[in-house]
Amino acid sequence: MDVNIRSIDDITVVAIEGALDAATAPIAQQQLLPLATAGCRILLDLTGVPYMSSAGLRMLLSTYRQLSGKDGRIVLVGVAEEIQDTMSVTGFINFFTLRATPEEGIAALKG
Amino acid sequence: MAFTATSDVTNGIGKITLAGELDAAAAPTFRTEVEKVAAEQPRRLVLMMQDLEYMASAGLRVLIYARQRMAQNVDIFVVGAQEPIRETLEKTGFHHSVTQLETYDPAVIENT
Amino acid sequence: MERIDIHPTHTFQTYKLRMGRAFPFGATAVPGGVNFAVFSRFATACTLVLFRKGEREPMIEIPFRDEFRIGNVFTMIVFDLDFENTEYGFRMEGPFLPEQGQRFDPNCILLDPYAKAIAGRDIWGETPDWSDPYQHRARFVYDDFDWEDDRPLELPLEDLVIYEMHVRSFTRDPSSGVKHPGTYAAIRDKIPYLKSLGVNCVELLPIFEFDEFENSRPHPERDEMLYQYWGYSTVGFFAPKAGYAATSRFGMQVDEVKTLIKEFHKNGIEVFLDVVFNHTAEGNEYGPTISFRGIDNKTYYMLTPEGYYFNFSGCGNTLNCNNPVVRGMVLDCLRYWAAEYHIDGFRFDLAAVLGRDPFGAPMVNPPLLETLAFDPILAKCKLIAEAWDAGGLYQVGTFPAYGRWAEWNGKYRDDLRKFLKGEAGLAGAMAQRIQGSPDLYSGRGTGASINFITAHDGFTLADLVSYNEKHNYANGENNNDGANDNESWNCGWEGPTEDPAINALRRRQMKNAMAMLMVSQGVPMLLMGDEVGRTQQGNNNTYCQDNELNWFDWKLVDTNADFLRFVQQCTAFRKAHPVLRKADHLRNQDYAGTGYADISWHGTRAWNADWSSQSRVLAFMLDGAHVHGDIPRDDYIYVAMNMHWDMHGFELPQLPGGRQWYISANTSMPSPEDFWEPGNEPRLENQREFLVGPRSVVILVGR
Repeated sequence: MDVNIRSIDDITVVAIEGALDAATAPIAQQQLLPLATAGCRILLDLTGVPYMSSAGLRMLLSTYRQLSGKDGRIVLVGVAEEIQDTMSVTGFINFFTLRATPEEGIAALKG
Repeated sequence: MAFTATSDVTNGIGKITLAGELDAAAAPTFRTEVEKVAAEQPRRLVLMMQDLEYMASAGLRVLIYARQRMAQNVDIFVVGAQEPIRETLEKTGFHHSVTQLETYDPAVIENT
Repeated sequence: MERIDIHPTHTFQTYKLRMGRAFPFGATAVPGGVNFAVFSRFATACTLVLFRKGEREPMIEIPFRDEFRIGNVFTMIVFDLDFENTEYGFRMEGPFLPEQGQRFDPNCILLDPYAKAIAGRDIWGETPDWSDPYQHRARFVYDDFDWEDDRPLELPLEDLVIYEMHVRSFTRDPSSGVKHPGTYAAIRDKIPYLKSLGVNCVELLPIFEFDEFENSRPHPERDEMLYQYWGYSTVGFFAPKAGYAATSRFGMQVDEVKTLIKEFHKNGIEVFLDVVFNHTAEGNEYGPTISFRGIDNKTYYMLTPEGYYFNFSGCGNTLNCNNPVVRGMVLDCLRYWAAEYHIDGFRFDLAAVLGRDPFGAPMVNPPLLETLAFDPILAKCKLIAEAWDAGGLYQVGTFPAYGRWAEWNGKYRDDLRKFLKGEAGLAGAMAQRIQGSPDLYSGRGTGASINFITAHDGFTLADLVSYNEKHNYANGENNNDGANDNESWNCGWEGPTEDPAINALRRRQMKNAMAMLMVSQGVPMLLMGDEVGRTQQGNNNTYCQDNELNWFDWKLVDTNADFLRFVQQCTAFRKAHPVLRKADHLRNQDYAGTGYADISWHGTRAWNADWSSQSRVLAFMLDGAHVHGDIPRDDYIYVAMNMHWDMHGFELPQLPGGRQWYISANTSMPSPEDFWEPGNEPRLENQREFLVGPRSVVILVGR
C-alpha cells in the first residue's frame, strides 16, 4: 500500500494504492492525520484501492471525524463499486461525499 | 305462492328476479341473492318485481340492505312493481333511493 | 498519559501476554491487545485456541496460566493480535462424569458464550465443512458504531402497532426486487412499505447466531433442504446471525444490523428482538458440543439428578436461567443489545421457562424476571413474555410482571378466532378482549396485552379462513408436528377454490379479523404478509421451510392491493383515534361528565347487548371525551360485530348535542367503500339503525 500526497491549488490530493485492511489502514492514517489542519480540503483518490476491510472503513470515518472537528472537508473519488456497496449497507457512506472522478471531486471541494 | 329469487350478472348489470310472497321466512333467500350479485361488483342493480305479490317489512329491510350493500355509484332500478308494493316503497321513503320503471328498458338501465 | 498496564509481562512462544481483567466476560479490545475472560466453575484448566480466519488448524494454543485465574474466571491479555483476521476458541479440561452432570472434553474447541461475532455459517445455506473440528468460530468486533444522535425511541407501548417478521423471509423471494435478497440490508429498502402499512414497531424472529444446518434434512417432496429456518435455537447470544447479512463475507454484520436499526429509528419504527433463552442449539446428550456443554454443563443446563437434560422447551435441553451465573449472562446479553444495538424491546420465547427453578419447579418470585424488570439499562425497554412453555406451564394473565412485563395474549387469539368463525356464546369473552383483557391484566393497564390473531406459530390469516386442518406434510413429519387446535374455519371448502362466494366470504373474514384487532385496546401485532393475504398452503408450522411457504411474495402487494388498503386504513384509523389506545383500562363509567360511559355495550338493540350463550353479535361505543389529559376530545366510535351468518339490524345509540353518525368501515362493502378515508365518511341517512350484513363488522364515527 502506498500513499501519494500532492497539492492542486489549496486542495490536498491523497492517492492511495493497494488494499486498506487491518495491517495497512493504520499506516495510511498516520500519513492522513497530519493533513487534517484547520479548514483543510482533502481529495482522497481511492481509484487504486481494490479492497477495503472494516478497519479501512473505520480509518476513513475516524479521519472524517477529526477533519470535521477542524472545519475541514473531505471528498472521496474513484471508490470501487463493491466498496461503495459495502459502505452503503453498513452506513459508512452517509458520512461522505463521493464523486466519480478527481475532476468532479475538486469541483465539489471548490463549490 | 312460494317465494323464489334468481339472479345473474351480465356486462355489469346485476339482475334479481323476485316472485311470490316475500315474507320474513323468505327474506334470507332474497338476501343471499343480493350478496351473490354484490360480490360481482355490478354497476347497476335491477330488481324484477313483476311477479312479486307481497312484501313484508323483513323484505323491505333486505331492499334497504341492498341499497347499503351496493357501492354508492351503483344505481338501483325497480321494474314492474305491483301497486301494493309500490305503496310500501313510497310510504317508507325508499322510492327516493331507486328508479322505478314499468318494464325493463335497456336504453335507461344499460346506458345511464 | 499512557497507561502502565499496556505492557506485556509474560510470553508464550512468540506471543506477549499479561494477566487479564475478569470483567467484562468475552473478548474485549484493550490498548495493544485483546482481553479474554471466560467463566467455568468446574474446569480444571483452560487453553486459548487462536486461528487465522477460516483456517482449520490453530495458529497457536496458549494455556491460561494459573496465576491468571481469578475465582472461576480464566483471564488473559494477548498482545498484537490481528483484530480482523483472528478467530478464537477455548479448550476446557475437567471431569467427564455424565451421571454427575459433568461433560468436559478437551478434544472439543469451544465457542465463547460471549462471542460478539461468529463465523462458520457466513453464507446462508452454504454446506459446512463437517470435518472442521471448530464449526462456530468466535471473532472480535469493533464496538465503535457511529450512532450520531440515535437512541431507542421510547414510544408508549399502547401506541405501537407491531409487525412480526422474519429477516430472510421478508425479501428472499425474487419478487422483492432488492439488491441483496434475504438480508438485513434489504429490509432497509422496504422501510417505506412498512411505513405505508402504518406499523411503528418490527419484531424480528430470532437474529442471534443459529445454525440453519441443525437437524437439516432433505425435503420429502422436492430437491431442496429443510433447515432450522426460523432460528429458535441459539448458538451464540451476543452475535447477530451472520447468514442474514449482505456483508458477512467481510465480517461486517454488526455494522449492517446497527445501520438497519438506525434507519428504522429515523423512520419512527421501533425494533424488538425475539429472544430464545429457554434452550440452546446443543440439544440433549446426543447433540453437538458447541459451547455451554463443554464449558460448564452443570451450570448452564437444567439436569435431572441422574445428569440427563430436562426438556421444558421441547427442544432437547433447558437453559438453567435461574442459576445466578446464567442469569448474569442473560442480563449481560440484553444489556448489550439494548446499549450497543439500541434495541427497543424484547419478546421472550417460551418465557414461562424463565420462571422455573433449577429443578424445573415454577417460582413465585423468579429472580431472573425480577432482575430484568428492575435493571437500569433495560429500564425503558419493552419486555414481552410468551407466557407459556412446552412443559405445560401456562401463565397468560399470571406471568410475574413486576409492573413491567407484557404478554402475548394467547386468550385474545383463541377467543377472537372462535368468535370470528361464528361460535356462539363468545360475547362476554369478546367484551374482555376488546377492552385489553382486564379480566387477565387488572391493574397492569392495556399495554400488558399484546393482541394478535396470527403469529409465526400457526396459520397465517389467509390460511385461518381457508383451512380447517393443518397440512404439514412438507415438514416430513407425517403431519404430526404443529398445533391441532387452530380454531380456524375454511368457509366451506378446504384450501384454494374458484368459488367466488367462498372467496368473497374469506376476504370478508380477513377484514373482520383486522378490524376487530385494530379497535381493541392493547397492542396489536400483525404477522408479516397477513396484510396481503400471504398463504402457507395450510402449513401451520413452517419452522423448516426455506421456500415460498415462508417467503413474502411481493406480487401480492398488487394482486391483493384492496385488502392491503383496508389494513392500511385500519392502522390509520387506530392512529387517528386516541380513544382506541388508552393506557389504562376502560372503567365502563362516565368520568368526563358527558352522560355516557367511556365504553358502553350494545346489540341489535341499543344499550342491550346479548350476553347469552346463543349470541354471535356484539356492539360497543367509545365516548371520545374519555381520553387522557391534554389530548382534545376524540369522536364517538361505534363498532358492530355481527358474526352470525344472517344480516341483523343494529339499533344505534343516540348521540348527544346534535352529533351525527358517519360510516367509516363496513366489511361487507367492496373496496374502497369498505373503509372511507378520514374526513370523507358519508353521513348515515338513517341515524337510528344500521343493517349489518352477515359475518360483517361495521365501524361508525359520531361527531
